[in-house]
Amino acid sequence: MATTSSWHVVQILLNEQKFGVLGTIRNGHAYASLVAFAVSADSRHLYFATTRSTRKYDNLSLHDETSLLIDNRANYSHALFEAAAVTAYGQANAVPEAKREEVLSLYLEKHPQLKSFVSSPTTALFQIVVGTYHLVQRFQQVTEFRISE
Amino acid sequence: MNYLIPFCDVVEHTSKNLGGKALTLARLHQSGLSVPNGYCLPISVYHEFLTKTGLSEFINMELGRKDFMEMRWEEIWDASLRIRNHFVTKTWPEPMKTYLLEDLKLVVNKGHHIAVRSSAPSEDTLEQSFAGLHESRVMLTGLESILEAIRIVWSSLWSDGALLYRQELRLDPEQSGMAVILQEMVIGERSGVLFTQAPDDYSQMVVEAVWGLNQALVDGTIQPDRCHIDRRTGHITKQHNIKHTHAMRPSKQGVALSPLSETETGVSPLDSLLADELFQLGRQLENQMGHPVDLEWTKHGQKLYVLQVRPITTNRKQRGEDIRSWYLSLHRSLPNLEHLQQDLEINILPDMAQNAVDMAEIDLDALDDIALSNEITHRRSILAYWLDVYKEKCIPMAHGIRLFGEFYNETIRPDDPYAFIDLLRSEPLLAVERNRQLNKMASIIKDNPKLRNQLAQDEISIKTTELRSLYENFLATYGDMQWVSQNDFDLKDWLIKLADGTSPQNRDQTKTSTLEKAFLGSLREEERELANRLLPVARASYRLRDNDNIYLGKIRSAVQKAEEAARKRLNSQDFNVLQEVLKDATSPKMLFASRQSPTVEKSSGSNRQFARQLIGQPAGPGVASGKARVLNDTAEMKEFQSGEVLVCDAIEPNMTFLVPLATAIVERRGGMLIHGAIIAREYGIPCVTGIYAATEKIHTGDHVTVDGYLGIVTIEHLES
Repeated sequence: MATTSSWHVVQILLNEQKFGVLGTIRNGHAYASLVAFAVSADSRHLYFATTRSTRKYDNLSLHDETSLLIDNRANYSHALFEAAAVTAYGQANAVPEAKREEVLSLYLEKHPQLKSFVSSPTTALFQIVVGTYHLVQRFQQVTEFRISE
Repeated sequence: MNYLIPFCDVVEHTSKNLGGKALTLARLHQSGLSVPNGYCLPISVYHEFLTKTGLSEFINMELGRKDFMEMRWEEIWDASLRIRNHFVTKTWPEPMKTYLLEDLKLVVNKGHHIAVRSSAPSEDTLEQSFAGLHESRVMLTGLESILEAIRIVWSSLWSDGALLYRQELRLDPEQSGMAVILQEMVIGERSGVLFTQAPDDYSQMVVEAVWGLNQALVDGTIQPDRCHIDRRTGHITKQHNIKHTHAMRPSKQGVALSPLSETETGVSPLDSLLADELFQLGRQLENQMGHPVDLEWTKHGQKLYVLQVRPITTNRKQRGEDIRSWYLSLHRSLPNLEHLQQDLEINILPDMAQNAVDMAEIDLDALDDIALSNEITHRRSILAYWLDVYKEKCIPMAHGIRLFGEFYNETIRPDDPYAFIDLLRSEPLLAVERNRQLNKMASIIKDNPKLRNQLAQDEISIKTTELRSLYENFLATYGDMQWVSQNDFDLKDWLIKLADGTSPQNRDQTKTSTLEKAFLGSLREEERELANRLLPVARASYRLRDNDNIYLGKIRSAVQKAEEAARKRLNSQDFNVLQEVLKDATSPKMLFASRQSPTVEKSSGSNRQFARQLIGQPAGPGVASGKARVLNDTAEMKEFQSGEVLVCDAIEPNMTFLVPLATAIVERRGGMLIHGAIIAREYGIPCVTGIYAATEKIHTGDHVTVDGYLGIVTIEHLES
């Protein structure tokens, strides 16, 4: 029951939050970037867009391992116990051409103002194929979700 | 009624939802004054439209993308164009559209034309007047056209003028809003404005009058007759009449200038009877409203109608001193632009070109020192004169492109708000024609490696017959250009650079006629008639935007040539009269370079700070990377190498020959319609404009990526 409830929290975060922190690898170091994301109906895929001249694009071209942190924190002390944060871990790659229209429509439903941005030939649409979600609640209560193939 | 409130039903508590103008007109109508009947569409309906279409998100995106304090006028127009395009491309939400159409059916009487006017809460208060920032649509008949006019008037809350005054207007999607007035139109025989207190003499009223409708007076197309009236006695104290030839009248396309009738010709539209009637009206309005007002009026038959009333604001003077008011004066009507186009093409540009030719013909070496000194002074005064003309005539002509762009977007509703630009490229630009000739010579050199090497080693002069004739012809036509006439600039070297580089071809012009056919074919008849007037003006505006810069460059070149001749003599002589005149020598800096140094953040403490990604305006689609070449003055132009990214304050008229060698262009000056952007599009070169402090933040040698689709410049730095 507790698991069902926690998974519901993950669903709320993935669907209601608009932005997340993308983690990539650059020269052996962690590299973090804020991105606007959307989630697939089955929560197996997360989508974001970036121009090809960015460092995160370069990083993902070399190492596809990635993470995306999504949370609902507010900026006050007590928020530490009220906030929930989910981190997705998986592989990032360009959205296949066959899926592009479907993903674009899903993405723009959540971020309609980014239409010009994602429509540019210089923008790449990425998908993270999620392997695991880690949900942190009440400061240190952590639940892991392994996403089956 | 679902949404509309008739003037007669407006009560005090609805005022916050109506805006000042609607409330004033409704009150005056209720008091029995001759105000044409009308209806108000409250601000809440505007907010409903924004919420149901999701427009707030788009507006926030546009307003938040770049610091407005770093944006120039041209960029602000672009931002406004994009926001307004969102308004007209959104589908009307249901059941909103149905409810509104039901209302309109009840209020639109057959045979009556309707005017749709703005009424924003912060406009026209005692403290501030924002006349001219928001739009009106007149002479409307069908329900659908009125419905469209409503959202166009709503969208004008985000006009370029309004964006300039965004802080005073509190322009924020959540906080701002606009009511709309739907009013029956009265087609007066005479119209004008009345200030119940003259701006320069508070003891006087001022009346202005023209034949026909007053649109021509408001936008300055027709000069009015004017009289001053003593506020105490009502006596006319001053009258100034002019010779009238035309009047603005209703036409199929809205309004158009037409010649005066026989009974109107030679007669002033402002006789003493009308002046007295307006004096009485002015006093009555002041009594009712409790403060001086300015009003627009029209006289139809024996009846005098009040069309709009605004308080005379207390801070109008301060506003007049603001450069923003100059920018607003650039908004011109179609008849005004048609007149300006004629003036430019028939008088101004040929005169400018002739001036340049006359100066080029003078043999400077034959002049003695005093004559040369006088010649320099004379040339400087000619340049100063043409710079004034450029500001007063050439810059306002650029509004022709804007006017057409707005019409195109309102009628075609394209996804890309800049799609209309492809229709403007009907004739080759002067700068492109000059580059075409350079490329032709370069291709002859490219095809003949032996000739190329001989030229490079300076072994021979140009002997190839075809090349020689092209070369001489080029020098005869463009030889007075600043860059050609520079002593240390060798045209042969430049041709070799061109031959060695890969020069892009300018874009195919044949596509334009196909586009034009498709565009005109998609319009309604009355729209097509208007398009047939707008398109030639816009094309002239596009073409002249480039050509006037070229002519101005020639004039400047003539000044510098004379100064150079004086400088040479100084080197070989002791003090003479030329030393004095050269103290004010023309700066080698760019003609249109920023007068103020931009504020650039410096590194703090021991930390080093770099610009990594800069945001500007997408001005030429495409993406390219290369080594940056930052140009700060004309002397640096010869350093430019093929394949480099050209970074400058503004592409000068005489710099366009660099463009074919550039892999991309970055400019501080912003907007789609600046000279550099126009030339970049001609060659299909990626271009980003409006990069604040571009020449400070980017350095020669930096590796940069220019994204002309999104308006982003990325600078690579070595990572430690």
